[in-house]
Amino acid sequence: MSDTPRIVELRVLEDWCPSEIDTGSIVLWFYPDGARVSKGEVVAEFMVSKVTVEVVAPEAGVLRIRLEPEIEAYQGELLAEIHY
Amino acid sequence: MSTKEAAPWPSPTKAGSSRSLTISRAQREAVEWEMTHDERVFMMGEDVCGFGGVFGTADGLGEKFGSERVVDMPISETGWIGLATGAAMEGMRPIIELAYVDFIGVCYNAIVNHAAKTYFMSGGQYNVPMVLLCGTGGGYNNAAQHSQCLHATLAHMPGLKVVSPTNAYDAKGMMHTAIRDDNFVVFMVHKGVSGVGFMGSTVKTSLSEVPHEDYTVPFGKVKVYREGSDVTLACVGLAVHQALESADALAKEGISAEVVDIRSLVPLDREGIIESVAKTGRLVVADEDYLSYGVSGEVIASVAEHDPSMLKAPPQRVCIPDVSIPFSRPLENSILPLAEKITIAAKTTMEGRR
Repeated sequence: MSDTPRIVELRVLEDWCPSEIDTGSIVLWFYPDGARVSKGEVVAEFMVSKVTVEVVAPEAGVLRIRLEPEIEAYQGELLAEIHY
Repeated sequence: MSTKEAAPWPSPTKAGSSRSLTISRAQREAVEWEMTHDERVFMMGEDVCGFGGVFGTADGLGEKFGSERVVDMPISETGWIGLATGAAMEGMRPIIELAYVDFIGVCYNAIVNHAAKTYFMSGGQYNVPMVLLCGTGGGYNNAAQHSQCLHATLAHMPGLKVVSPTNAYDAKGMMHTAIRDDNFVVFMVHKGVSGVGFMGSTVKTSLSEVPHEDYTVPFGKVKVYREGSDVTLACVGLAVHQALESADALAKEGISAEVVDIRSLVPLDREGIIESVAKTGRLVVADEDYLSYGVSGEVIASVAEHDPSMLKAPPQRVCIPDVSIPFSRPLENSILPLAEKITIAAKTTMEGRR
């Protein structure tokens, strides 16, 4: 591991918002900003068209929340980062 | 007058040790834990295996445990609730997903005359360790046959326990308690607090810190969400969260309201309610079930039977006036026990009016 932390971004997936006009929002973050999360763990629920999908941490690390709940987000928009 | 906010759940000891969850996810975690640790536990209902249940109560469980333990059933509730009762009598521990409590009408005989009475009728030879899951309540324009709570319809009957958690911490703990209980438990969750996508934004006060590990929350104990000294707001289901809003509004007018979540209808914690009313001297009961012959009347009767002189003013009930729930949003909103109505009722009892 290098001195500078590596970062992985959690973005709104194309599966959730297939077209450019589709929007969704975070229902809730399971952990507060700055919490340590494990790899493969569900860290948030994202709601789009009344369907809830899971936001999964692709790496273990520190969760940095970039979008608060109930704010409209489009395809590709940044939700959080995991610093590891 | 001081109003102390009491956190209804333990605070996390360190970051990452517990998470903030919705009721739906928390209760599902308990089901998953029990299914993993006890092979007698299985789930049954409409659309549970492939779809995860209409309210997400079985989300992912079909994939994990397969269609033999998460069993899809046809639209024939009488048949499969009878089947589950038989399985429970033979030592299995079924969790049955009825989805909307409104459907109780089609399987009431299986519930009332079989599941609830088998222990009694067999002279204690057979118990029925079964959990029936129901989504309750309105507030989303689903009309008269998909918006009822029917708390009293179930709680009235001897032979079964009826609980209704209103936050994620309680939901997980009470689900563990329900599955481990050797008796028939009806587990009712208001759709508006469960945290399912199609209900829109989740009620903030229903989200809570939930430990990863298993734990139980006992039945038959009220939970004081917020302490107060002037008036007790005793509530069931979503009404608890409406009462929290109302308590904020009342506090601005100098009225200190105590918000009590009844959360277990059978067994009912009469002592817990009486304890609160003994302190405040005033009682408002909010229940999104029909007004007459309901839980609200039972709560008030319990206080009056204990000591009517505790009440400084006539108690108030905020319930669905005895009409079927309308589809129209303005009409529906006019009959739901919303915060403003609880506030008016609290002020009425503060003024000593009827």
